[in-house]
Parts: sequence; structure tokens; C-alpha cells
Amino acid sequence: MAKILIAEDEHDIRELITLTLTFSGHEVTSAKDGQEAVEIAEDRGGDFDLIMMDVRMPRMTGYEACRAIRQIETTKDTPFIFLSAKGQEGEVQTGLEAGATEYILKPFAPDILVNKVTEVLARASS
Amino acid sequence: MTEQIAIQIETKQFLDNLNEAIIIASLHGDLLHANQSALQLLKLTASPPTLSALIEITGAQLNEHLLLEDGIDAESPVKNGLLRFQSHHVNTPDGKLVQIALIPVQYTANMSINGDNHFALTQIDALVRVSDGLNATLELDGILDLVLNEAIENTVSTSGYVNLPTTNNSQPIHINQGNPIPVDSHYIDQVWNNGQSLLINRWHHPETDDQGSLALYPINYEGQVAGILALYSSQPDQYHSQQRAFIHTLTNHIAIAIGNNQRFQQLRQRTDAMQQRTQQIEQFLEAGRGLQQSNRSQDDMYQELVYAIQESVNFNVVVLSLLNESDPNLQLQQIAAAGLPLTRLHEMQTKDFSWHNLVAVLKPDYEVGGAYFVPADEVTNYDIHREDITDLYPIDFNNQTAANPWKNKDFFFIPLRDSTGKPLGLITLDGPKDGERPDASVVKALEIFANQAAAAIENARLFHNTIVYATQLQELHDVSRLVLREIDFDTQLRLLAEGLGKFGWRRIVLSLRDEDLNPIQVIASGLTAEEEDQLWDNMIAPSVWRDWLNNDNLSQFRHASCYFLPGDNEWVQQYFGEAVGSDDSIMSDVPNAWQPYDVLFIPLYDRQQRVMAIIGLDAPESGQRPDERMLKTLELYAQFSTAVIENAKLFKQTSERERFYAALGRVSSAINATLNLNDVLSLICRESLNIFAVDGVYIWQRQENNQLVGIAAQGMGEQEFINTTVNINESSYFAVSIVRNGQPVFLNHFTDQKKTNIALPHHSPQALLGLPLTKDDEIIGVMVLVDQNTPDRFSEQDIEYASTFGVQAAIAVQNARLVTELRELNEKLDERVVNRTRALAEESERVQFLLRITTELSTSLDQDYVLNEALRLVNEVVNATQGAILLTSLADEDLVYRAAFGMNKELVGPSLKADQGLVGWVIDNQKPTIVHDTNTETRWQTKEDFYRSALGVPLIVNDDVIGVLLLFHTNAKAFTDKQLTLVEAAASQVANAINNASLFLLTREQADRLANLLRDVQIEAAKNESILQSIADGVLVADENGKIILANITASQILGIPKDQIWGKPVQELAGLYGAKGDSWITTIEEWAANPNDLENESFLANHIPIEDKVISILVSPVFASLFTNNQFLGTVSIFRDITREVEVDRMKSEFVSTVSHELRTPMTSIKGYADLMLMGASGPLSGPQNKYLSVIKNNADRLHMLVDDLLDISRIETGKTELDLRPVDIPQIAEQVIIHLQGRSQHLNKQMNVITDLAPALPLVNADVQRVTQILTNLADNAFNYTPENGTITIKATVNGKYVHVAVQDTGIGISEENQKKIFERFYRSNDADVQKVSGTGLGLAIVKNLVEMHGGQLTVSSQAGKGSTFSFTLPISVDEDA
Repeated sequence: MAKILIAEDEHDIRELITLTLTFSGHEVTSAKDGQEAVEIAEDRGGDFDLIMMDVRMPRMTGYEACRAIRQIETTKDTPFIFLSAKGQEGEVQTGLEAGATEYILKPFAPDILVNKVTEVLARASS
Repeated sequence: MTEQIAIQIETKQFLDNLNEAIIIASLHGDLLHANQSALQLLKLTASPPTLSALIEITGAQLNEHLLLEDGIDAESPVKNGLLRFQSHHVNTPDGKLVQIALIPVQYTANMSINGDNHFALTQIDALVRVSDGLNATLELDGILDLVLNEAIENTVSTSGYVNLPTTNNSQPIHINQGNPIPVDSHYIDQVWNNGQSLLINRWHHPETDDQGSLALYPINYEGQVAGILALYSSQPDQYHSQQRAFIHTLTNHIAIAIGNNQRFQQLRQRTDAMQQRTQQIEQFLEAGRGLQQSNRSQDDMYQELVYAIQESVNFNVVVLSLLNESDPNLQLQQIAAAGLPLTRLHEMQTKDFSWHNLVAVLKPDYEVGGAYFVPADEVTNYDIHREDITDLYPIDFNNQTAANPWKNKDFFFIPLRDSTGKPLGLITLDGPKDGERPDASVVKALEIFANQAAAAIENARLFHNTIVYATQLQELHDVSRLVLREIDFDTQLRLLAEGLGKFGWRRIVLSLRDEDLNPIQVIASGLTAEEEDQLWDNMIAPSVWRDWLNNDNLSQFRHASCYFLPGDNEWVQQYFGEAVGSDDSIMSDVPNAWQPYDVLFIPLYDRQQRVMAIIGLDAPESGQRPDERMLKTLELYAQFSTAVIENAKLFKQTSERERFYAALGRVSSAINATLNLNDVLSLICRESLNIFAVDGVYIWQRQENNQLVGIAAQGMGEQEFINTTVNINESSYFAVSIVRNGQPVFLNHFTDQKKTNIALPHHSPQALLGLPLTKDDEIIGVMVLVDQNTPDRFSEQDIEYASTFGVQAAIAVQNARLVTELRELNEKLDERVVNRTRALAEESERVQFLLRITTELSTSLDQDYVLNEALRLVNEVVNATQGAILLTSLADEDLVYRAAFGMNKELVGPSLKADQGLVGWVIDNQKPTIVHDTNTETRWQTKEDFYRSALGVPLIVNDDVIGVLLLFHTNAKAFTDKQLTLVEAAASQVANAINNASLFLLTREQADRLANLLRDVQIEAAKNESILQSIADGVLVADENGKIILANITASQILGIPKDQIWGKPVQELAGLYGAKGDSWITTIEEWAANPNDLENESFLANHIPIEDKVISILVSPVFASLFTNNQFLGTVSIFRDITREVEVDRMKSEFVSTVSHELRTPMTSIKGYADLMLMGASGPLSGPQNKYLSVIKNNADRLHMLVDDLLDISRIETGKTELDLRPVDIPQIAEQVIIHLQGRSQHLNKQMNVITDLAPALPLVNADVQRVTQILTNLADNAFNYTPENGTITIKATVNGKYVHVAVQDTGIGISEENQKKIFERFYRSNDADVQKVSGTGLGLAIVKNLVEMHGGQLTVSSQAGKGSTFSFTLPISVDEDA
């Protein structure tokens, strides 16, 4: 049971993630874009055990948001997972450089998402 | 030392009062006491000093002498009962030399200490006094006195004496004190003989009758008994041992005194001798100074000398005898004497006393130093005159005291010699004042005197001679000044003759001589008028002179150049008797007097050592024969005279020569100035006449007909002489003899020469001189000089001069001859010029003709025209009736008419047989010929022909006869040789022209053919070129060596290099221009070129290279020559195609795919995600159909996902966005992962599969991207899994193959048909086979794999058989690190 902040501009997918994670027992806070996610993180970043977001989002991309979140004291070490449709070469690399812990490719199977989250959390707690 | 020896206070005081330094030591060397003097002397501070202090002060000296050597060995003096006295020297610290007297101190047990001490001290005191005495005086008497006194006093004796008999020349000494002791002589002898002392304790004194003590001690000096010390005491037993020791010590003192005295005596003797010597030397020096003072008369000097000797050498009589300087008999003359009355001296002087007599005694037996002493008993054997002086100086010849008494007639003398060792005289000594024969010292002194005297005498004589000589030189100088002031030779000669008078000669004859010694001129002085008149008649004949001067015996009378012949010499009398005559004058008996028939003459020699004058001298004023000095002076005079006469002669000769050369100059310039022979010859004759002062000069010229022709003359009968001839065979003629001998000749006294004919206008010539005139060793004439008056007119000199004129005459004659020849030559030249001009004109004509032919022939290449024209031109010259040119035909051996004139046209064409008739001959012989008359000519076969002459010339090209030119004429002999030559030359041109025309034809045909060929080729090439250039692709052809031989425009455009810069270059030069990909292209070409045999027809290389902003595809293929069976490699063809646009399109396509793929993923995520969620039951339980439908959605979403992923992959790869992260990769590790993956799938799908690995051991790492290799192998393994039925086998193999690791995935699946194998790597290709379609796939997998493999530099291949399985293999390069 972990508190997870997610950001995804695509409503269906945001819902899918939320559903999947909630279904597997996590508490999910969702944001519609990077900007919102950063605001939430600034507001109560300490609440979250994991942050997960899309790369391509309006207002603020996932990379920018990731870099901003890493600047916030409460979230600078929080595990961070990108979810992306990896359209371009080097995306994964850019994400990791921005401060991400893990990278999950779309489309993803719900069990794979859950497994990955569990794995990252376990790693973080250890 | 165990016993302490104490020295009593009073003893110390006593010692301190002594001036001598005394140190007392024990037997063992311990120091007991040192008195005040010792302390002061040795700078000691305490008494007794320590041993070490003393040693330190005196060094080892004292230690050695005092302590170790003597001190310890103190036993012996005591044992002997004698005191030993030793003295040594040591140095004190302040450098004083101190004598140390070492005196053993004896003390005996039986002597009272006080008494002993007292006596010892007394003794020491006495000895010190003696020592003082020894040091104070050298007088032996005094010392002995002192010693005796001390001995008597200290031994309490009554009397005593010391006796020293004479030893070593010293006086005997006897000193007595007290009454004399009458000792028996046998006691004395005993002591003398034994050398031991004798003590008689109870001796009976014969005079006093007392029984006293007598001690006799020998005085030992230098190992011998020198004397005796005797002591007598009236008390018996008086001399106890201590006293005896004391006495013995005293005798030692005496010995020392004797030694001192003796040395003193010797010293004094030496001093006396030195003084005496000094005085002597002073006297000598004084005498020497006197002798050397040149202003004193010699006689005074000699007198002084003998006095000095008399005074110095202790002889009463001293006589100095000297040799006469110039006397060859070495007669001695007594010059001075000391100790003799003058009368006695004069008496001596009258007697003969020759040095020769002395020589007999000058032998080593008598030699004493430098002097000679002949004892009286031997001197009688020699006839040496001396004066008996016994009356003057009575000498006791029997003097007993004399050691070596002088005997009467003892002969003692010392010879005097000059610095060269020549005897000067001698000094004789007689009557020694001491009556002794001379000893060494006398000889020594005399020697010194003799040396001084000799030097002085020599000096004096030299001085005297110098004066005399100087006087003579002055005279000579005066005469020479007089002579040289004169210019006239005769006057000079007279002065020379008279000048001899100044040297004391009253009769003088000076005669000049010619080479044969004939007198030329005679000057006499001091002769009577009668003598002068008969001078010439009385001259000695030249032949006699020659005999004399060549006679070897005469040389003994020669003194330099003077000859003095003493008339009393036997040889002279014999030899010269007749010549000089022996007159009746009475000979003078004065020694050295000039005798009436003495002869003195001096020949004067010129530079060639020929006698040119003789001086005869007689009647010297002195009446003496000439001495050396006179001869020397005369010698000088002779030299001077020689110089004067030579100069005069030279002057005369020079004047003559001057005149001669002036004449010669005139002749010479006349020769140069005029070519008129007569003028020059006349001048030569005239000048000769003047110069030689003859009466006629005649010149003959030698003609070629061996005649001598008179051409010039001067003097008598000039006109008569000209043109007279003499035949050269007439040998009696003088001129002819000159020609024959070739040498100049003169005939004096010609009147005697009866046989010689002169052929001259002279009746009675007295002398003739003839010389040949030669030019270049050829005698061209003769010149003759004639004298009418003087019989011996000519000499060698004249020949010399005349020859010079002869040379000039020869030149003139030769010049004249040359002028004639020149004229003739001119005429000949003129003629030759005319001839040559004519020949040239003809030649010119001929050349013109040939030129015309050549020009005509060269204007056309039309053979017929050429031939006709040539024939016409030839005939212009020859003017024949008919002519033709026939050429050989190729068809047969006949000749065909090709051109003709003067005959029917039909004639042209028919042929003639080439081996018949005139034509046949010409062809056979290849020679031109003329038939002068056909009637008589055998070669002419047409009998009825009306031509009478014919001319045939072959036409020859390169040694082949190609035809004949024929000319005919109706007249016989119509053709000349000249014409033939001309026609021949023309024929040559014609032949060449024909040949040229043929060659031209041939060449033109060839050219046409070649032009056609070329045109065809050009067209073909142009076609090919056009095709090549029109190709849109670039084409570049390289030959087998890689050199670019062809490139079209497109190629140059694509490669970006101008076409002309590509052609001909090796492809290697393009290397590096196009990066790594370009390199592989060039490398391929190079490799192919290097190993063409490895190539196969199918080999090709396809590659893409980026050039600037373009992408170029390159296709390279080898080219083989199919024409040749061995398929020769010809090169490579590279095809370039600009595929930039295609690539760009491809890229855009890929990008499009990428974008689309991405955009597809988002909806796919939702589809798949929600389907999954639902299937997971997130929305509640699902019904069966729901579940089935959702699964379909999910499966298709998965397929779509896969498709998108593959599309993305391939698009990235193809757009070049995929980059490899190359590292060393371990294939087995990846294989393991893949196998796990397969096992996972097997389990998951419940499909059993055998998965095997077959990996080579120690497989090297490969250079690869690990993700991509995993992808490749997984993909291939998945395919194998997918297309292999359950329970099949999949084998993963890996082996090493060269630089690659070969990986294969083998399955036992459905296999791939051969047809499909070609297509399976295409994108989206999927077989229609049902088994394939069963498996879901995108058709992109293998395309991706292939791309990835190739990106790694490897290759992907497949081998498969349908139904049996497939094997996909790929290669990966071994890591370089690994490789290394």
C-alpha cells in the first residue's frame, strides 16, 4: 500500500492507471499534466511514495516536471517512473537523466505496471 | 749499576774551575756529573743531567760515541793497563762543533780512594794541558817539550827524553830534560823492533850508579814506531800501572803532534812551491808582454827572452836559435844568447847548424815534457855543434851532493814551433847553476817559456811580413792606379812592364802572345839598346814555350803562376841549358843569391786558361833569389796584369764587333728593305770589303744545273766576275771545294797553293777565305774573300764574322730565288683558276640540268607524265634521234615501254626481252654503256636498223634494276662519255622519281584503308562514348592495375571531380576522399587488381557512400575479357548512382512510421489496458463470450503492439537513428539467456522443445552491441520456436571462422522453400504457407535482424529445406581486444 502521484494528460489512460493501481491496493493522486503534478508535489510532496507520469503532456512535459520535482525537497528522492509510448530514440535515456527511476513503455499490461511499481517501491524501501 | 759512585765535593769544585767541559759517566753509561763548562756548552740546567736530556741535546752522536760504544766497553783499556784516549766531534745545540775527548777513568781497588782520585785528577789536568798545547802550536819541539815535562812531573821521574829520528824528510828531533839517560842501545832496539813498551823497575844507572826505574815507550805513528819516549826515575818500581797508562796516553799525544807537524810541513812546502810558481808565472808574463810588444825590435825582444829564461830556469847559458823563414835548408841561426859573451855568439853564428841535424835527436827517448835532454855520452854520437862553456862557468861535474849531476856536453834544448806545428827554432840551455840535470819543474817552466817565445816570434814575424807585404801592395796599388788611368793599350802595357821595376827587378820583358804562343807585342824595360834591337830575334820559339809549359817536371818550380827555375838545379840545367844558355858569369856563393842563369817567368792566362802573355824577370836589385813573399807579390801583379790585358783585348774586340754589327745591321735592313737581289748582294760585298779590309769579295750562286754562277762582286774585276761560271765537278776550284766540303775555309799564304784554281779576276792572291751560303742545309752559293797583300791575313775569327755575312748573303740569294718561284707560282695559279672556272661552269650546267629534271620530276606523281618529261629533258642535252624508257613489269621478266619519243606511239606498251641485246647487257651489268657503231657492235641484234649509235642506262633503285633508258642516233659515234655521265645522273633521278611515284601510290592506298578503318572505329567509339555519357549512372572503368581508363560525365559529377582529373589516375588516389565507406570500394578494386585469379565472374560490391550532401550507391564489378578462354581480368567497372532522393524518401517514410507508431500506441494502451483490466476481473466477473471477445481484443492489441515495435525498429535502423554501443560481447552468455527465454516460452505455451547449445570451446568475444545481439538471437530463436512443431529440436551453435564468430540457429521445423528463401528478408514478407500464417508475425523480424547483423559488419544467411528445418546463421566480428 503506497501513495502514488500520477500525471497523464490522456483521460482514459489516467483512469486506467488509477484503476489498475487502486485495484492493486495503492492510493493514487492524479494530475492532468506535469504542471499540476509539480504543484501537487510542492503542496504535499512528502505524502507520496512514488510518482509516475507520462512524457508527452501539455503545459509541462514529463521531463520538465521530473526535473522540477527533483528540485523540491520533499520529493527529491521519491521513486519516479515514466510511462511513455517511446516514439523517439533516446527517450528512455532522457528520462533517466531527468531523474527518473524506471521507465515503462506503452502500451503496458496492467500486471506488468503493478509488478514494476511493486519492484520500484521494494527497491526504494530497501 | 748497583754501586753508587759518588763524586766528592772538592772534585766537583775542581772540575768546575776548568775551562773544558767535562762530563763524568759510569761504566754503564749513567751520567754522574757535568761541570759548569759542560752545562754552559751543552745548555744543560742541572747536574748531573739525565741521560735522555743529553741524548736529546747532542742527538745520536753522543749517544753513539759516548754511551753505547765506548762507555759500555770500558773494560779493555783497563785490562791492558792503559788508558785509552778517544776523541770525537759532536755538534752542540747552537751549532758549535765540539771535540769530545773520552777518557776512561780507572779506579783500582788497591788504591786509596783519595790518592787515586788525586792522581787521576792530576793526570787529567796534565792531559788537558797537553791537549791545550796540541791545539796551541804546531811546533813539534815545543809539544814534545811539554809532553816530556808533563811526563816527568806527573810520574815523578828524574829525567827523560824524546827521540824522533828523521822520517819523511823531516829533521831528526831529540829533546832531553834532566840528565841524559844513557840507555843501552839493545833496549832501544828492542822497543823499536817490538813496538812494545819496556819497563825496568830496577835499572842500574851506569853514571849515578842508582837503582832506579826506566820506562821506554814507543811512539807509534801510522802503525810504525816513529820514536821513543824514555823516562828515568831514581826510585825503583816507580812506574805503577796508572802511571804507565798515563805515559802511554802521552805517547799517543806525541803521535798526534807528529801527525800535525807533518801535515803542517807538507802544507808549508806546498805553499812555498805555489809562491815560487806564482813568481815564475809573473816573470813569464812579463817576458811574454815584452815579446809581444810590436814596437820593439825583434833582436831586443829575443835578447830579453833569453835573459828571462836564464833568470827563471837556473841555467847559466841560454841560446835562442831560429830558422830562416824562407830557407828551404832549415839552417838555424843563433839569434840571441844569455850568459855568453857577444864574441862567442858571433862565433857560433858563423857555423852551420841545420835543423836537419837536430831531427835525429827529436825522438821519444830524449823527450822530457816538451823539451829534449840528450845525455852527454849519447850526444857524442850526433854532430850537433855547441859551444863549450866550461871555461865560463866552472861546474863541478863530480858533485857528490847533486842527485843527478850535469855532465859536460849534456844537451838540453826545447824546440820552438809555430801554431801550425812547423819548427821555428830552439832554445838550448847549458851550465845549470846547481849542477843538476834538469828536473820536471825546470822542463815545465821552460815549456811555458818556449810556448810564449814561439807565439811571440810568430807574431813578430807575421808583423814584419805584413809590413813588407803592405808596402808591396801599396806599390801594386800605385802601379795599378797608373795603369788604369790610361786608355791606350800600348801605354798600359808599358806601364805594366815598368811597374815591375818597383818590386826590385831591373830587367823586364813582357810579351803578348797569340793562341800558338807566337809573340804579338813585346815591351822590354831595363835592356840595353843592343838587346832591344835583337829582342825579336832572340825570342824563345813558341814551340819551346809549349814544351816547357807542358812538362810535368816544371811544376816543381811553380809557385802559383810564377816559375822560378834555379840555374844550379841539375834538371833545369839539363832541360833549359840550351834555351837559357849557361853564361860564363861566376856563380855567387852568397846563400840565396840570384845566379846569372836563374830564370823567373810568369805566364799570364786568359779566362780560357790559354797563355796570352809571358813576363820574364831578371837582375833583382837585392841580388837575392825571390822568396815566397816576392813570388806572392808577383802572383798578384800577374793577376792584375792579366785583368788589364784581358780588358784591353776585350775592349778592342768589342770595338771591332761594334763595327761589324753596324755593317751587319746595314746589310740586314737592306735585305728587308729591298727585294732587288743585285742591290743587296752589292751591299753585302761592299760591307764585307770594308769590314775585312780585303781586296775583293765574290759571290757565286749555285744553279740547278750544277754550275756556280758569279752574281755579285766588289773590289777587283767586279764586272768580269759577274756571270762567270764554274762547273761543280771541277774539284780543283776553290769555290767548288767549299761547296763540296760545306765548311768555311781560309787559305793563307795562297801563293804556295799551286794546285788550287780560283777562277777569280786575280793574278796573285795572298790569302783566300771562302764560305758556303746555306739555306736549310742546302748549299745555295759560295762567298769568297780575297787578300792581295797579307799572306796570313785570315784567322778563325774572320771565318766567324764572314759566316755571319754569308748567312745574310744566303738569305738574300734565297729571297731572290723565292721571288722567282713566286712569280712562276702566280702564273700557274692563274692558269689553274681559268681551268677551274671552266670546270665549274660545266659542272654548273650539269647541275642545272639535273635540277631541272629533278624539279620536273617532282612536280608530278603521275608516272607516265614523269617518264615522258624526263626523256624529253634528257634529249635536250643529248639530241638523240629516238629515245625510250622501259620498265620491268611485275607480270613477267619482259620490259615494257613506258615512255618514248621519235617513234610510233604504238611502240609504247609492247615489251622487250630483258635478257637480250643491249637492254639485256645493261640490265645484266647494271652499268650504262654506249654503242658507238651498231655495225660493229655484237650487243646490237637488229641488223636492219638504221640507227648507227645507241646509249643505254639502267634505272636502279636500291640495287634493283627497274628499267632501262635508251637513246638512239642515226649517226655513228653520236654519243660522248660526257653525255653518258649526264644521262646516267638523269637516269638516277628518273629511277628515284619512279620509285617515289610507286611509293606514293602504295602509301595512298594504305592511307585510304587506314582512314576508313579509323572512321569506323571513331564512329563506334563515338557511339560507345555517347551511350556511356548518356547513362544517368556514373560509370568509372579501371584497368587491371587499378588505373582509371574511363569515366563518364555523370561519374565525374557524382564524385565531384572534373573528368580530366579522373582519367589516367590510379583509383588509390581517390582513397580517403569518401570516408570509410569509400575506402571499401577502393580497397575492393585494389584487392581485385592484386589477385585477379581469385575472382569469379559474379564478384561485385555494392555500397553506399555519402559524398558531400549526396548519398551515392556504388556497384563494382570485375571485367573479364570473354574473348579469351582464360577469362583474363581486364579491370573493374564502378557504377555510381545518386540515390540521395531515394534515401531521403526512405527516411521520411521511416519518420512517418515512427510518428504513426507512437500515435498508435496511445490508443493501443487504452485498448489493451482496459481489456487486460477486464480480463483480470477488475470490472467484475466476465461471461464466457465476454472473456473470449476480450481475449480477441487483447491478442490483436498485442499483435498491433508487436507490429508497431517492429515498424519503429526498422524505421530507426533504416533512417540510421539506431546506433550501436559496441563492446566485447560474450556469445555463450547471450545464448544462455535466449535458451532461458525459449524455455520460458516452452513452459508458458506448453509446447515441448529440445533446446541445445553447441558452442565451440573458448569462444572469443565479439565486437557488438549486447542488446542488439540479444535481439538478433532471440528473434531467430523465437522464429525457430514458432515454426518448429512440438518436440522439435533447436540448436544454437557458435564457431570461430576467421575473424568472425559464426552463430547459427538450427531447427527441425517446417523449413523454407528455395523460392521463399530469397524473399524472407524483405520487409512485411510473409509466406502464404498455412503453417506460417498460423503464427502471428509482422514480416519485419528477419528484415530487422538482417539489418542489425549488417550494422555489426556481419552477414546473415539462411539454408533450409522445406519440411526438414532451417538454419539461420550470422557472423559477428571478433573483438579487436580479443583478437589481440
